[in-house]
Amino acid sequence: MEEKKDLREQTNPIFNTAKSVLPHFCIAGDKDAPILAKKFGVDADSLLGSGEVSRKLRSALT
Amino acid sequence: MVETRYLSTNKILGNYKNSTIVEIACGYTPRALNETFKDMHYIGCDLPIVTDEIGTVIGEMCAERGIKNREFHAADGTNYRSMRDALNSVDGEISIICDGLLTYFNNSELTELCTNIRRLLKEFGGQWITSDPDVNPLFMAAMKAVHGKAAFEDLVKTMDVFAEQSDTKLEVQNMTVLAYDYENSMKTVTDFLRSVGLKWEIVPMSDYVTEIGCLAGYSDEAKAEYIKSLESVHIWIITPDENFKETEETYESDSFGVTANAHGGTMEIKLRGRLDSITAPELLAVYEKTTAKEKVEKIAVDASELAYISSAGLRVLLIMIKQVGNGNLTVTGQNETVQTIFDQTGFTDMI
Repeated sequence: MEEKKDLREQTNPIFNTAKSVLPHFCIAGDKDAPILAKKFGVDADSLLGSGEVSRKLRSALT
Repeated sequence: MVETRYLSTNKILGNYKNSTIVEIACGYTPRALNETFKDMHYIGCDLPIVTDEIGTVIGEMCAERGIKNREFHAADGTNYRSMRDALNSVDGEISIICDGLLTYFNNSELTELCTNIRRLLKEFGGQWITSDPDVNPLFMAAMKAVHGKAAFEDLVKTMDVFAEQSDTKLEVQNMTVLAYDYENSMKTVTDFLRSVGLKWEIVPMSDYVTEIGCLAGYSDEAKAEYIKSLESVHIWIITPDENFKETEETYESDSFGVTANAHGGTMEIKLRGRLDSITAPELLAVYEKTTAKEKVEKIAVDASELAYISSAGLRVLLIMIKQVGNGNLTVTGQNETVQTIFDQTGFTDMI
């Protein structure tokens, strides 16, 4: 997997990784985004808060 | 901005419930899990590594929820064959969507993408739904809502200052509407769409988004002002122009091939077909395998059978240049399309 990630990173610097992309869907308020994030080892609970995902981020914007 | 775009795409897809959703550059989207689309066929397209990962996880989650008809395919919007192969199971119309993709393309890639989309829509019927051309007006609306009008005006002044100080001239790409130069930029976009055989309808985002969760902590006045500003931000619904005169074009010859050998410190590479985000990893793998066995100080690339190169392909060549040094990689035999891409991206100065 590490080798594959190196190839991906080198051939496309705009490659999507779960860690960089899934928080965007959490921002979008998609209720499945935090659940999906956990499947990829992205701890949305610590990043943004599971069921509180959108609210925490929203409060960070104010 | 992310929420507005995501919500509006989801909402407008509700108007096309009999179509298959084809999401280009789907990334790690949870869209396939959305209950709204439970009865719709969904196909996600992205780089091979992304679709391998997301396809496995989404497949498991869909099985748990009893959701069927979810597919993920390694496909690049600029590579027609990969896109067409991804749609082999489709029966009926398609709704092609992309959120936040177009800004990453140069004009050559944009032309390839639009041409491929036109061909797919002509075959299957349906539409391309995207708000990507309006990313600038959307950004401006979001910045004003979050930071206020005064801060927004300071940002615009800052952009002007940096533009004057910078040595780099940013090329505004052909599908970019500019809020501060609306008429001219709309003309550029619509002229471009006509040139690639597409026609369009634009609908205000405010028709599809009436509430934004991210603004929950803001005053009712600020929220209302933002929603009102979405009247000037549009979703584009794009379909093939029936009056467009097609030329004879073939696609099968674009399959990729690479051969390489190294001797006396020089590596000779011959490229055939399309070098894009789907095929670039293959070139990189061949290069790394060869350089693992032989010391390479110069690289000679025969591009006489190279049909097209995308930014992903250029990045692999740049990796090679970084390792052998400027001036030690030569490219010969390239066609006009490839040479134009070299010139537009500044790659010509490196070889």
